[in-house]
Amino acid sequence: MALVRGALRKVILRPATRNTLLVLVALIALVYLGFAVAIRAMPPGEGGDPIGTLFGFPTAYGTLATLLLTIGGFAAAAWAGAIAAGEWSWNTFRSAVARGESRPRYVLATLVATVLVAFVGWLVLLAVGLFGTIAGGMITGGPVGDPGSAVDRLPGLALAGWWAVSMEAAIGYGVAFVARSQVAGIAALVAIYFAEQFGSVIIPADVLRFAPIIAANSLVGEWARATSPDVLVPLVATTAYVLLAAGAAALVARRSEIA
Amino acid sequence: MHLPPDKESGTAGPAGPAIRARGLVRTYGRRRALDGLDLEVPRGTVYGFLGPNGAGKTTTMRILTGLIRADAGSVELLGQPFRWGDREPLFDVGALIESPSFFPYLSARDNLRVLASTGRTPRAGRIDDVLDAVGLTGRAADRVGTYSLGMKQRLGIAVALLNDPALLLLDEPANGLDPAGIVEMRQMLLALAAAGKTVLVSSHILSEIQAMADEVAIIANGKLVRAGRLAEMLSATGEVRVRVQPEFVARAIDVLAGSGVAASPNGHGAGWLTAAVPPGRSPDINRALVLAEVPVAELATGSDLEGLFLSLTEG
Repeated sequence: MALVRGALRKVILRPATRNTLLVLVALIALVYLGFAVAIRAMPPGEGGDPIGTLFGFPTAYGTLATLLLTIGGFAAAAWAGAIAAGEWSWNTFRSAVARGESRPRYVLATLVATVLVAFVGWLVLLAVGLFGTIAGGMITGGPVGDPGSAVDRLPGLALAGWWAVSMEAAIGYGVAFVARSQVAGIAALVAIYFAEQFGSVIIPADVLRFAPIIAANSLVGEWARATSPDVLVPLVATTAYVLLAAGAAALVARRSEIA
Repeated sequence: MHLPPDKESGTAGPAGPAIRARGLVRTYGRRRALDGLDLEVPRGTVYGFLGPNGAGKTTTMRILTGLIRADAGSVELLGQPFRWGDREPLFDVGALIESPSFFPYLSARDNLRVLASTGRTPRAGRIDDVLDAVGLTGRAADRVGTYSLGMKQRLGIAVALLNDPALLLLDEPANGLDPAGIVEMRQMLLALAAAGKTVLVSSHILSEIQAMADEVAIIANGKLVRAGRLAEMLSATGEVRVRVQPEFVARAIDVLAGSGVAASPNGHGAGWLTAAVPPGRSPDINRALVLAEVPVAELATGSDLEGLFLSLTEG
């Protein structure tokens, strides 16, 4: 526990943590404000579908979750990659090992701290997104439905979204630690994203649903849209990718020589 | 820099020297950084670890702290066998390897808190004690990224002291320290040794090693070339250095040769001669030169570590 507490301290106090969250909050607010203003400027009757999709509850939950996961996932991978790569570039991993700390324990504790902080970040973004949805609906003046109509899905959506973002952060973290490069962490997730998009042309959907980002989207989408979500496959798939990324980082840490 | 030890830890762990390394070999590609290095550091001493650049000092330190593997050889730390991947022996070792490493965005205190959560947890209040010992209490809340090199070095020493270790491994600890800081560090290391701790110091500042080390090991090309008590090593290789005006150099050599003393110009500068004789013969040399009307501008008795170091590591 002391190790995780120490890791939380370094992750929470890192300027990139605060800055990433602030940028995402601003981005989400701008997206909703921008769409609301644009829809309001449309002639009467033409903004119907966007209003329903973006600001009409309960559909808006799904749109919000997808938006947050798309933007937040890449940001989380870049942020977690920076945390992992920083251990090499600042030689702080070396300091811990020279004090007799276990290499895998140190790397995993840092990942756990990253995932825990991601939970707080996800909750903040979800709150900002919900506020943006309601405020945007009011700006457009169109029918927005009842925000409380599917409020019972929110706890599940919060947890599913956090886990999906955590998976993308874990991939960024794992790749960045193994490659000792933050760029590698974010590049890996971008590569996976494009591979999944192009792969959807030739790979059957029942295979592709196990792919990382598709599984993450599916996990969140099920909670956001379905009244009785079937999350077993995406949950197992995303958990497997988290474990795979953590395992790769721990294995490399255990075998690494530190110059 | 003053830090009373938490415990008299010179005898921590099983009996035996603080460090015993046998036949350490380490290669990087085709280059052999360590070539069967033997090293034995007794407990309760300040031990100088010397060698030219690339001799293998830092590689040795890395092996001793488990950062890299040795290709061959064995290590004991504080009487316990130590292999790559072992953790427990390192709980009693404090190390500063090369440049100190910190999270630049954290304060000194937060960096110490993060590091204190790794390895063996130090006692409560230890962080304040080590900050005080290295003179950083007043800047403990400042971000390390704003620190000068010397302040980072002080913080690195604080990290090494965090667990009140029985064995300190310090790689160039005087780097970036101002003269007052160097003196304070020397006094602290001597105090730690007096309390039973063992301090292995590698440094390029040979005068600093000479001022504080009881024993030294000199390595070159990955091998031990000389080890032992510093005083004995220096007296065994005594020399007297004389400076005369450059135009008197040839005459001075002749005069000294007539007295049975072989002298030759050395690398200290124009007019300097070195005679490889015990320091006790310096009055004879002075008298001989003065009687021969060769003005003596300066006379240094005894050998110095620099001369010994160069004689052992050059060529």
